Amino acid sequence: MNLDSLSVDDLARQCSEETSRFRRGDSFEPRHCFELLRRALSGGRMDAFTSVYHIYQPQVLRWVYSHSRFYQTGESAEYFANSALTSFYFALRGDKFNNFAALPQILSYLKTCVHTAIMQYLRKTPPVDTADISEEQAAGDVTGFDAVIHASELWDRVCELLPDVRDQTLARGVFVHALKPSQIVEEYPGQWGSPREVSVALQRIRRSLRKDPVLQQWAGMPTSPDE
Amino acid sequence: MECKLPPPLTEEQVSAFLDGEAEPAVRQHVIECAHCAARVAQARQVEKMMRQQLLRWDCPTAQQLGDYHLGLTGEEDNRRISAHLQHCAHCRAELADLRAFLSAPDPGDAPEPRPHSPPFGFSRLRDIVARLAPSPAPALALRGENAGPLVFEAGGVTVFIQLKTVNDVTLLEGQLAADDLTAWEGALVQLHQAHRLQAAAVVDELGGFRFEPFVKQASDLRIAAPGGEAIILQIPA
Repeated sequence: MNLDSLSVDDLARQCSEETSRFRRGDSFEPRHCFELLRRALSGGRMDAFTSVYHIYQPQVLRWVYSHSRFYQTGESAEYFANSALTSFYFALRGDKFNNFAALPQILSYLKTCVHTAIMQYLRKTPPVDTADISEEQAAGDVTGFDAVIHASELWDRVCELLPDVRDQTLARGVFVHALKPSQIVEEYPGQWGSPREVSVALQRIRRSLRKDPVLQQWAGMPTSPDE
Repeated sequence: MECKLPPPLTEEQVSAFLDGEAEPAVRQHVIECAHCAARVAQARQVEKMMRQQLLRWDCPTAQQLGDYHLGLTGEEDNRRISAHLQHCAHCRAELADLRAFLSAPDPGDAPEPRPHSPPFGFSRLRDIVARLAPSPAPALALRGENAGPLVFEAGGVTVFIQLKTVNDVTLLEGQLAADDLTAWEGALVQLHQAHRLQAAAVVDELGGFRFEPFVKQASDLRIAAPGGEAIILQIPA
């Protein structure tokens, strides 16, 4: 059958049936779903995308619930399903769809989008154990900081204050990667002999950084108290 | 201001206090001396700022790591990400999680939605719910049509929503206005009604989008920019 001649509604109906067959473990035909996805993503057909959303949202929700870190977020599964389908749309729209030749490959990417939606969320928010979120967390930003400072600008300042490359490596380990001294020894073999050595060096660089008036200003502090 | 209980705390003692490893005498000093307590507070503020602003600032995004794992990144990105993975335990852990997740067998049926979870699915922390503002003056009429659109404002973006009836068909026209409209070009607009996605549209290069036909009922619009920002419009019935 020439799939080009089928309407979006017909394709969606057929794709929905094939997807149900797949879920039951029966033999299924992937062509209709592939064509529907092609029209939605490569072809930019929003009616096709809406059908894709309806057909695959249940599967995406199952993936969300099965993700080992979903329950750390405190968010609804529907939120991540929506995020995943949205990022899936942006990632594969237009010519990018041509990188995918078969339905299993596309669905694997959709599953990856579930993972990335959850992980990107967790990167920005510390994990919560309950659904209740404090006002401070809901506000999102930590008060008192100059929100305009970009991380790259801040890192440049750190490197200016710590010209020694080894000190920069240590600052990176502590501030960028949030590593403990024992982890820093492991992550950078040969640079520090022991966690104690890391702690001593760390005291020194923290002292340098804390005294910097520029960092103090960026942190919302006007001046350093006299000693 | 001077230390009330000289000598003042050393920098090492300040660090120890911040790390929760200070001796009792140091802890007591901070309680009794406003000057040293202010030094501790200042040091905490600087370090907190650094930890929060710098945490994983130059890590590839989760999406980039996913693309890398699937072999979808270019040569230059491959090299950059591979080099990054040499020293980033966080990204290595994320990749390991991804591998395990992708290779896990198909899960069974999903549990029933939790009672408080909205079927539409927006985040209290991440999504910006737009505020419905008073209607603008007639001079701000949208694209030459009659005045009276709904005006929503959120995160520096203004969205005008207008319903029109043409040949007995109601349609919804939306128009975004923002300092950086290019960030919203190509944004995906989802129209949700009765807890279901009804239709989707894309913001054009002029910031416009439309839904035709549009059934007049309470609706949620989710406008997601390619860069990740999303705003929610709650349109009353």
